[in-house]
Amino acid sequence: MTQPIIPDIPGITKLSPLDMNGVHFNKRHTVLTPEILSSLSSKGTDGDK
Amino acid sequence: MASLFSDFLTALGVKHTEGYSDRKFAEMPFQSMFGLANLLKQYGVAAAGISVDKESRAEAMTRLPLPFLADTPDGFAIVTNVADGNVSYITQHKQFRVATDKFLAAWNGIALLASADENSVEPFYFRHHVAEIAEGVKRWVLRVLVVLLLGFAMWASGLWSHWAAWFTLLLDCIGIWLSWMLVQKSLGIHSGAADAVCSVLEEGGCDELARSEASSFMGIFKWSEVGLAYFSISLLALLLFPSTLPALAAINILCLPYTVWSILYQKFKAKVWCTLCVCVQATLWLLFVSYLAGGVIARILPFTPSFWINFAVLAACYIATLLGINALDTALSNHLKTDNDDTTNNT
Repeated sequence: MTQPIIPDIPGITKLSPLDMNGVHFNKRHTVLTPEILSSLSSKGTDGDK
Repeated sequence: MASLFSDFLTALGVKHTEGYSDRKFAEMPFQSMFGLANLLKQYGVAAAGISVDKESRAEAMTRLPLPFLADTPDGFAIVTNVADGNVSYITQHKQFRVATDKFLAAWNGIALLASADENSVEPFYFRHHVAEIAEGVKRWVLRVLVVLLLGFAMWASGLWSHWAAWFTLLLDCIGIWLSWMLVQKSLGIHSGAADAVCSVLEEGGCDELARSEASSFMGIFKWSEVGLAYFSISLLALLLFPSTLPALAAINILCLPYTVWSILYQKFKAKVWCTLCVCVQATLWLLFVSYLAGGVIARILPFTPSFWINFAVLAACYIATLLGINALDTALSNHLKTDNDDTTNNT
């Protein structure tokens, strides 16, 4: 299998299996419409989960 | 409805069957990005999780290999294209396009990249594909046979030439379909058709009400079960015992106050609209109109001994069916709860 190419950008970090296991799926099946995306941006986001 | 996993496989161009892929996705021991990466590996797709700093996200968005999964606080989106200042993405099997800066503001920087090649394919794909075709054929054969049997029953019962009877038949079928979707919602069973109908008045309204206290009568049985029993028995009685029509119409009239309560509850108490529930109320009223226009309501009075016998027998049938559906629903609910508990304990 060919590994996906991760662009050589300084701010990108590859996640360990443990980190990846901490990123869970949302069970609510929300349709992420543009309106919902706007409301998510107003709440603020960060890379921590 | 296709899951995030099967949508992602489609975007990657990996041959798969929706049924098998969705089942594997639901059964993943680790319901996380790690679990998904492991599952993709079974399909010959290599995956890597990344985290992108806020300052680098704009550049990353244009350079990450497509498609990729982008994480947001409300779930993942499959990014399929980034061009002309817009991001095209898939969410819950639906396609959207939004300005890049809007998407970047919602994205938390976490992404799953994947790489598929010509050898990437679902395990035992051919066998699953044949099975999927067979399932489709079985579903269509069932639909055709049901339609033919309903038509035959209408002819055999002498109702063939009465337009109101056909309208009543159609409404009963619609009522069964709506009630079944409500039962699915109350059990937490995901249904694409139900979600599509529910999103008409208010997204998530059906889910909220289907699991609230108001969805059941004193916790004894659910209104969705009542609806399923009502429309099923009404349909059977119409086809097999058309002489019970006046009793059916009388029972329909007795149901109408419930529709008023339901609408008032949604508007003033719950303050959320359940599209499925509103459709069921509309169906009950349309049934009333059908019985009225078909001259059935005029045949209710004067009350005769045979009317009361039909009324009592129908009531017994409704109650017996309701109790049966309730027992099945409870058993299914307990089974699903046990399954969920097992999955939680294993992760």
